[in-house]
Amino acid sequence: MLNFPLYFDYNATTPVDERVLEEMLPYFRIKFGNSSSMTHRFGWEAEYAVREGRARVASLIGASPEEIIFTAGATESVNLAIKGVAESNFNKGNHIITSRIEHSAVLDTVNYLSNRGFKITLLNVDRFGRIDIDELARSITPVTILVSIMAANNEIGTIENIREIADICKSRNVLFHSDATQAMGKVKLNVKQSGIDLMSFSAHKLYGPKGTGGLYLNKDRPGLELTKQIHGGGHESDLRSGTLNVPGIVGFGKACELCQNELETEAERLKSYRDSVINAIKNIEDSFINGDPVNRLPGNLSVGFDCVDSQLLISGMNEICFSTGSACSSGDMEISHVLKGIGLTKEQAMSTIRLGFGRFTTQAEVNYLIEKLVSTVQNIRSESPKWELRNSESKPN
Amino acid sequence: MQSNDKIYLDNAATTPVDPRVFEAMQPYLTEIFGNPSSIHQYGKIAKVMLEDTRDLIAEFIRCKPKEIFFTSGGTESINTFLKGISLPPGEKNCIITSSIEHMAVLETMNYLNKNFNVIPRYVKPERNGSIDPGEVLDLLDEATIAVSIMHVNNETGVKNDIKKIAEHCKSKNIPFHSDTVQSFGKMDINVKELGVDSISASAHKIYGPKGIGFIYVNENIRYENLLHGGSQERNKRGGTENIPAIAGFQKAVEILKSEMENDIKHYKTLHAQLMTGLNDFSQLFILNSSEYLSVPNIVSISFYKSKINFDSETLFMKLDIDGVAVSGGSACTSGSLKPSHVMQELGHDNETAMATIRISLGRFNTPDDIVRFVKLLKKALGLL
Repeated sequence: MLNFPLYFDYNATTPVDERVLEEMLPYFRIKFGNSSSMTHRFGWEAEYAVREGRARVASLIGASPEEIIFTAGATESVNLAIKGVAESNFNKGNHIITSRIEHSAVLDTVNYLSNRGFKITLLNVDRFGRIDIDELARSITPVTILVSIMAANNEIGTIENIREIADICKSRNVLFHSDATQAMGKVKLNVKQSGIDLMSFSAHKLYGPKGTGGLYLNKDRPGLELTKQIHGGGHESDLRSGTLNVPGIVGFGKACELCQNELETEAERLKSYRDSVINAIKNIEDSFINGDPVNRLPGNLSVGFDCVDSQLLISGMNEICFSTGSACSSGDMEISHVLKGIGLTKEQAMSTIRLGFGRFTTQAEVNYLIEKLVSTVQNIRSESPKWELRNSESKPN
Repeated sequence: MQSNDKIYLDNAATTPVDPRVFEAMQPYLTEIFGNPSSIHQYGKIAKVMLEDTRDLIAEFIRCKPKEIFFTSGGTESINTFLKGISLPPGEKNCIITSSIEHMAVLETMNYLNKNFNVIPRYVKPERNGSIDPGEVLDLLDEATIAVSIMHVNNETGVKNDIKKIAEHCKSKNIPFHSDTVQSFGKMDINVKELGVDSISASAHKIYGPKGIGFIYVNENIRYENLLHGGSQERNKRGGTENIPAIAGFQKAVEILKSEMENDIKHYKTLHAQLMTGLNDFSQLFILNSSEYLSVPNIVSISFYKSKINFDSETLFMKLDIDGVAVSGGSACTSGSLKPSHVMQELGHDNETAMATIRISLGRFNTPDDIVRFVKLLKKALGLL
């Protein structure tokens, strides 16, 4: 039985897993205390729950609990990481390196800093969305204070070689931040093995609730100082103030625990879904797949079809939910900076869609998607003068 | 011990989520879980709910929907205003605030002072705990960037005449922000009538969920963003919106719209009952709240060290064993054992400041809670 509309936008957000919700429930109405309240058990219970949540989040990425700072989400974490390092290290240097295909949380933040006297280098990426390690090494100067490269791209799913980037940063004594919002819980990611100094992430991408995220801070990294960005009661080791979102943190913890237990089997399943769609698409002429063919997120597929505008695909398949750009920039019709960054033409970018597969995706849904996608592309092309013209040109009599 | 045996009287720190609020939230967690930036059906449902909530809150405080921006809570809202209005540093360099503000204001002022040379000027409270609008007026000058004075103090419940302060600010064309975290839902807030340019508020103080708040900013005020990234909140606050919490916030405000008057009546009834109960031993304490100037849901008392042997840690422990939850200072500063800055500003010495109990009433408290509380407090104090 199919439940319409079918959801294929797991890179934008995910539903809260029922097991996560169940764990959160008592913290709304029964154990509802403020974790800063030290005079009664409502406060103590909340504080204990936060501690447990922190340990679970830390465990998923191989960190210690005290290395996790809870925030309201990945955007806030990214802001805290980048502005926090920038403000603390302004006397050491004012140069920050990132890439052209980062999430807007990173790009808007470095753009803000560039108006405040910081110099920003935006690294190019190849057609698969990978940065050039040599270009990174060449770009680091004595005044470089931070490199920020995402672990996996939200639009095209490309996984960067984080370990290699971290090694270079370490050898040149530059801090390394990674936006792991898409990667965490989806692929194996160990901050210690990877050598990441700061890492941003969010609960709602991994079947936890919206409104909760975190920042990992490597406590063993000398010189890692952070200027807090939200001041107040001194919560979160005095790095992020504001009453803690206790149910959110409890849910985030449970979500991380589930990911840790189920990551491998889930990744295999999602890969098989994704690959079955890829195989079907290969039979459609003049289609293309964006992103790294090998090193990519199991649940992400960015594809395009020549002469098929993605807006027409949306109206042709309105019982299926998917995205045409990243969720945060799809409100407006600008071409995605990521697709531009990997060198797609405007036309190619306009015909690209993003399909996201997740925990609750079923084989039947994938079968329906394939059938519908193939027939819709054919229908759109059959009514497209452009397609007709192009075919008659390429096949002269 | 069952939770319904407990007497939770720390509602100024946080409140339980109203069951109707949770019911409104739940579908947005698991079933209609879309990201409002997504263009498909899931996204649209979330977007419509988001904008409906904005409309509702705007109507509730009488502003335009586009003047409401959702944040993660009161602290973020306060940071947004104070930093946003001060940065980048310009010719004006002075912010007028009070010495009894929440730490979110005071710590942000310290940061702005240390890093950007913004000069904070603090108005001290009167003996009754309120801020004299005349003193604010005296400090306004050419260098003033903005004024930020809280509506209701979180420790004493004392109200400030922010309408008068707003008048003074308007006469000098200076933006005025008020931290209304404690007054929102406890008093009628009409931003037009009050004349405030910006207010900060939070859902978890009004039986809504933690992790969501808003800031109202008059459309004529320009300010720098606190969080960058994404075009959410009309480019003023990046980050995926906390949709289930916003759905909860909507319900919490909807309930206030129809029940706030009843809530206030309820607080007043419990308040009168509480004061009568405390009256039995009123010679032992100073009342930090005021019968006329405080909101009825907050009562703060400090015990005289000369009249009673008061050890706060033991007292709270005893009360907790009996199921009573009250607070000593504000929740945010109570993590540390420093005496509350508000109590110090009221002129209490450290020992008296530490011997403070804040009792804050909520929608779900009953008259029986108050009877039991007074008895258990007396027992804990050794008065029975």
